[in-house]
This record gives sequence, structure tokens and C-alpha cells, in this order.
Amino acid sequence: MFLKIILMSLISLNMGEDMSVKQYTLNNGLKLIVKEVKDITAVYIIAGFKVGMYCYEPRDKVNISHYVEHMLFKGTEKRKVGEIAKEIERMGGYLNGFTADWGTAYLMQVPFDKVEYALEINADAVMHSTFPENEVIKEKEVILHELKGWLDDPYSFLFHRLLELVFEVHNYGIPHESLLISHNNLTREDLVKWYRKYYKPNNMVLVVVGNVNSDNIYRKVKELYKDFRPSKIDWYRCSQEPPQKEVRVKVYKGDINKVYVGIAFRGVKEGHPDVYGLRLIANILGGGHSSRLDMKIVENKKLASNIFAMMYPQLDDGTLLIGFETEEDKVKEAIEEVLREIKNLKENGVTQDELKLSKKMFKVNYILSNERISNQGIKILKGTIMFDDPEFYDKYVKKIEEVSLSEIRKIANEYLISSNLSMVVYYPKNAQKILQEKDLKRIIGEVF
Amino acid sequence: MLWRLVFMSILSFQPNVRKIILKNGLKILLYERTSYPTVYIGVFAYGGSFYETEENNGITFLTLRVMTKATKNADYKQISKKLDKLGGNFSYSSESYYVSLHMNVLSEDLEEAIELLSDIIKNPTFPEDEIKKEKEKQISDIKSMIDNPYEMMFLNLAKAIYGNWGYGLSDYGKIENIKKFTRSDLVNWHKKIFCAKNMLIVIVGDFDGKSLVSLLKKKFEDIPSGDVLKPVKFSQNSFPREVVIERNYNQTYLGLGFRVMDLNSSDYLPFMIFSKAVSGMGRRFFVELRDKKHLAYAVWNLYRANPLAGYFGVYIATFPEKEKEAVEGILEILKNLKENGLTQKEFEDAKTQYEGEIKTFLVNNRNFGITFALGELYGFGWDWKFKMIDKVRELKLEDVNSVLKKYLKVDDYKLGIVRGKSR
Repeated sequence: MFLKIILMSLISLNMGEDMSVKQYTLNNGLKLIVKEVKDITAVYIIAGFKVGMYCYEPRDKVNISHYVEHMLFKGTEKRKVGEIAKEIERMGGYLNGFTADWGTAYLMQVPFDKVEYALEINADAVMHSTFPENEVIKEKEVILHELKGWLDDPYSFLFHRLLELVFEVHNYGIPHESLLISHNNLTREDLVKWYRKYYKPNNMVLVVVGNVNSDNIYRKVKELYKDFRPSKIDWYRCSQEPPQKEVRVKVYKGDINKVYVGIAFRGVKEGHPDVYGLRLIANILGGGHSSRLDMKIVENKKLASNIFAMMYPQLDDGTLLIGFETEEDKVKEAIEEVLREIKNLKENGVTQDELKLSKKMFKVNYILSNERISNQGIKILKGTIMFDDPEFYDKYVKKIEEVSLSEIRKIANEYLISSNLSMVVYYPKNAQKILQEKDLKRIIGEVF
Repeated sequence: MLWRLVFMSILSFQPNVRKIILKNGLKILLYERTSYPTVYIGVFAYGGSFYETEENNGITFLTLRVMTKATKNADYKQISKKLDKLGGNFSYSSESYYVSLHMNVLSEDLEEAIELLSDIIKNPTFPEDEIKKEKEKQISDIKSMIDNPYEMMFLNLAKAIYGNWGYGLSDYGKIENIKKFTRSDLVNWHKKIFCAKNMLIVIVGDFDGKSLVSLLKKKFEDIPSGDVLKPVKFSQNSFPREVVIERNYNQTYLGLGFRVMDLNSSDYLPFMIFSKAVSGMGRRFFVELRDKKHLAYAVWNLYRANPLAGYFGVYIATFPEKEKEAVEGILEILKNLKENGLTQKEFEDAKTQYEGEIKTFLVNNRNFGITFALGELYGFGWDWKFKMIDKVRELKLEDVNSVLKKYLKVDDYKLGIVRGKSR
């Protein structure tokens, strides 16, 4: 049946600058958000679905969202494998897809005079992917390369092993080996079922940012998606992680030259009232050129290099991550000093100057990131899918501005505690002086 | 056709780039864009591995590291704090043919940013304690690079093609070199690189041009003129066919390639179009090796060129047991290209792609700035990308295919490999 698509709502949003943002909801539920940016020659198109890796997947189906994402550009009723990419690249554009925990997205950046053509290709992939059996089998192998490659890079290794330690129940912590098994067991039938269930207009957000006319885009999208039928969606959500009770430590060895250390404090999910304070704490600890860890551990004591701290809030949960590289004979001292710095921040708080500086950095980076239409598109998509609020990330700056010194102290004392701490140390395989897990737990107990 | 008209047809507007040359010979490019209250500042200079020998490889990057740590007016703590007050968007790199320092700031902070950059460039003090510290960090970075399979594959391939010259040298240098550099080595190297005639400044964004020019004169006109740095000459030696390291990795990271023309060659343009015709997710290497043979997740082309050298290659990360199949797969495609050339469709698509890419790339201050700066550094002018449009439009398929016959050395290829362990 022909769906009569009508404009359900037209909301003008004020997202700063003099650029107009319009949100449309088609009557099949598809949300279209268009931001006009006039003095550039490109357009960024990103289509997202509210279903992603880990959070929405049963344990034995983890990676299915990612697998479906790989298959979406693998051919439609009209276009054979490789043709979608070919058509976009011919324009001078590029395309890609990504799977996050909050959603799955398909993006294109194309010349502004090719936007309608690109929207057609995007719509074809979204609505008419055919999942050819032989392509499904081949892509399984391709994804296996990708997943196995995760453990070859030391930082990627550290990150994945750290999340395995922090999340014992939630799929965020699925052991890499189990992830490979889950992936291997997925069938074409699983993928098609997933695609048919979740790839619906009422579960989709389409964002267009660039040199376009909003109303023309709306008319084109309305036409393209007129036959896309909605249906009721019941999302599966995986088990949530209970509170951590004690410190967790794991030591690994690998074919590397240096020692890589990762520390995670269990934090909060995106949008939680404490996330803003935790972001500032992470930045003050290890987010800038003058951060505490940089000054103390790298510059003054020369115990480590490439140190960083960042808040990593996800859909269901979050972690404050700290990472650094060091030498075998400096591991103990480096860990001790990093923990002392964290303890110091917890006990004595931060200064007004540090807080002000950190807020300014956040604000500047927010404004600078908006120079890229891709960043604007992703922020609008993520805010809409996660919180039904395209302006969610525009409001972030204000929320950051509102964090006070006393809140920082309160938040630090609530989250930067040893029972919230997990640590992974990744040694070269021929290391002689390896700190064992019991040693590391003792050090943490003594210092922290 | 006048390139300006082409420019208008491509971008729908013509960037009003002002080129200023200060009395000391320093070139400055200014381009005002008012969409965002932000500004990109780039300082570029000839330097990097093409200007280094095997014996002093790494000196450019170490000089950059130390000069950004202490000046006559500020120590590292003060510099770090100033950078963070500007938002923390400061970086520097050594890119074989040139070095660059980049800053992205709010328009309201532009003056402060220029003050700081000029201080770093003109007044570094190279204190011994900072040199010691930065040497340790650079050695640490060399070790990190060795732990990164992709970077090592890349370097191994370049070494197999160029030996210990230019692309074959790492930007970080060798550990033994880093240990032996003295303060005076760094001071002298800084003088050579950061003199007016060897430098270029580009500023793109929302600023007031008039007051900016007087500020730039005030801050940069007293830099000594110096001279343009001369690159090290290439001396042909016999290099190994392959450079391999073995690791306990899940995958093998492999690059297959060969030397091609530099940017000054008349063959460059047809080869660049060829490279576009086979690069991307919808093109031969990706489709054949990933989509059809499912040999890898990551497959892409490597093509680097500057006015001194160039090389082309194909990168693939595959399972160790499939290494032979991957090499054969790449060679099969290359042989076919050499014998039969591109198809008319591939060729036309690549030409269209070239123009489209200009539109999709020039979308922020930094991308504009880097494009303009590279044109100047390469000696073609800031508008080089646009000037090439006409020439690309005039290209014929035969031009491209004859160049492929000359450069695709399928019997004399080089390999750079980080070999994983079969399971």
C-alpha cells in the first residue's frame, strides 16, 4: 500500500551560528533533520537506526548489528556488490558505516550538487539490501579479519581487555574469544531477521548537513521513503552490570616492546547528571598539554609517555579511562604515582583555575568540532537516537559550564574509589620483572 | 579555459586568497572564511627525512619537540598552560618533505595564538633538561611505532623501495641517533629550518585581514631570511626486494609496491588519475581482494609523491596463511592493469572523482589551509589543485594506460611485511 507521507511536525531549532536546522517527522515515523551550512561545497548524509552492538544484542548474537552493517552496502535489488561504493566514489564522495552501542549508522559525504543522487543510493541500501548468501559467507571472513586485528595493536588490546575486566555481566565485557564464537555462529537467517525487525522508518533518523535547501531535501526524502512501512519494535536489551565491589587486575604478555598500562574507574552512562563532572575530572587529570598527569608523571618524574585520561560514557554505562606507556623498570613507580595523583584530586579537589581552564577547553573544542559537517551530523544523529533530542550535544557546553568545584569533589569521591577500579598491564613477552596480579592489588591497596 | 572560471564552476565561489611576502622573504597566505568564529594557523617549512641522512635521521622531529617546550619568555609549564587556554588544539609533525605546526583557535584568541607561535618559532632556548626529556620521549615513540603493525609495514615497504633515503627513513629516526644529538645540533637545525625563506605561514578563518597583516609583520618580519633548505640527494644502491619482521600477531600486514615518478614529472597527472581509479571501496583492489576473495578487512592503495620522489603500493592485512594468495592476488590485478589498462568507465569515473573530491575535501579551515600550503611548498602555487582541473579534463585514457606500462613493475616489485603467526 502506498503510504501517504505527510509532514507531522516541523520544528525549527536554534543550534548556534546563523545556520538553519529543521526537523521533520514523516508519518511512517522516519525522522529527518536538515542543517543548512551555506558556504561549503559538500553535504554529509548520515542514516542511523536505533539498534547497535552489545546493548541490543543477546549474548549469543553479539556482533550481529556490526555484521548487518557490513552487509548493507553489499548489494540491493538494483545494485550489485561494489556498485554502491563505486557510484559514491565516482562523485568524489566517500561512504562508510559504523556500529556503536547506541546505534548503527551509514554515512556519505558528497559534493553538494550530488545530494539527491546520494540520498537515492542511501535509501536503496537502507530499504532494499538483499543479503546474498555468498556475500554473507564471504563477509563473515572479512569481519573475522577485523575482529582478530583488534588484538594486534597494543592500545586496542588494552582497551578491549580492560572492558572485559570492568564488565563481567554486560555485553560490553564479552571476552574477545566469545565474541569470535558468537560471530562465527551467526547465519544469514539471523541477519535478515535482524534487518527486517529493526530497519524500519520508525526506528530511523536521517541527518543531512551541508549546502542544501531543507525543503527540497524534505521533498526528496518523502518521495524516496514513501513505501517504507513502519512496524512495532520491541528492543532486546542485554543484562546490566551490577555495581563493582572490589578492585580488578589482569596482567597480559605479548609481542611488544614497551609496557602499556590501562586503568578504568567505573563511571556513568551518557546523559547521567554526573557525566559532565567526570568529563572535567578526566580532562584535568590527563586531557590537555598542562594536565596533572602530564606535568607530574611525564614531565617531572619522567615515568611514562603518551599519558591520557578520558571519560567514555556509553549508552548503558561508562568508564573513566587512563592509559600510558612505560618501561619495564618503571611500571611500579609509574602506577603508584598515577594513583597518588588521582587520590590527591579526590582528597583535595581541583582549583578554580583548573576548572575554568578545563571548561574553556571543552567549549573551544566543541566550537571547533562544528567546523566539520561530519561532526555536526554525528552529534545530531547520536543525540536524536539516544535521547530523542537533536540538540543534546549542543546543550553539553552549558551543562559543563554549570559544574561547580564542590560537585567535582563530590563526584571524584563517589567514583574514584578502589572498589571501582580495574587495571590491565600489558608486558612484552620477554619481560623479566613482571608485577603479578597480587602485587598490583597490593600496590593499589597501599597507595589508594 | 581560465582556471578561475573552472574554480567558480567547481566551488561556486572563488576563494580570495591573499599572498603576502614579508621583507625577510617569509610567505604568508591569508584566506577569510566567516562561517565559524574560528581560525586555523599553519606554519610550514621544508624539513624532515628528505633533508636528513641515515646518520642524523630524527633530528627534525626532535628539534620540533624541544623548541615547543621552552622559549625566552616561557618554560614548558607556561607554554602548556597557554596552549590549553587556547583550547589545546596544537600539534606538530614532520612529514618527510616538510614540517608543520598547526593551531585551531577561536577568532577571539587569534592574537594570543600568533604571539605564542611566534615565540615558539623565534625564541626557543633548547635547555639541556628539556632535550634529555624529549630524547627519552622520542625513543619511547620509536618503540611504540615498532609495536604498531601498520606503521612498521609502511616503513618496511618504503625501505624496500628507497633504502635509507627520504621515505625510507622514519620521521622519529633511530634510537642511536637520538641518543647522540647535542644541544648545538638542535640549535643549528632549528636555524636552518625556521628561517624566513624556508617557511610559509597560512591562516584561514574568521579574522580581520588588515589588523592581522600588521600583527604578522610585527611578529615575523624579524626572523632571519636564511635560505631554502636543500634536500639530500638520492644515491641508488641495491635494496632488498623485501623488508620483513615477524611478530606473534593474528594477521600479516603486507605492502607491495614500487618507485614511481615525482610530482614534477609529466607522468604524475595520469598516474594520479590511475591511482584514483583503483582506490576506494568500489574499485579493483578492494572489490577483488576483499569483496570477491575475502582475503582481508583492510585493503587500500598507498600512493605518496612530492617534488623529489614517489611510490605506489597496495596494502592488505590478511591471515598469515593467506600471505601468498594475497601477493598473487595483488600481482594479478597489477598485471591486468599493465596489459589492458584502465577501462574507459574507470578512467571517466576517476576524472569526475577528482573534481568531486575538491568539493568534499574543502569543507573546513584546516583543509583549505593545508591544500594552499602544500601547493606553495611544492612550487606550484596555492591554487595548484584548481589549476590541475583543466589538465585532468584534457587527459585521455591512452595517456594513463601508457604510463601504467612504464611504471607498474610487476616483475620487480618490493614488499614490506609485518608477518603474523599462522594458527
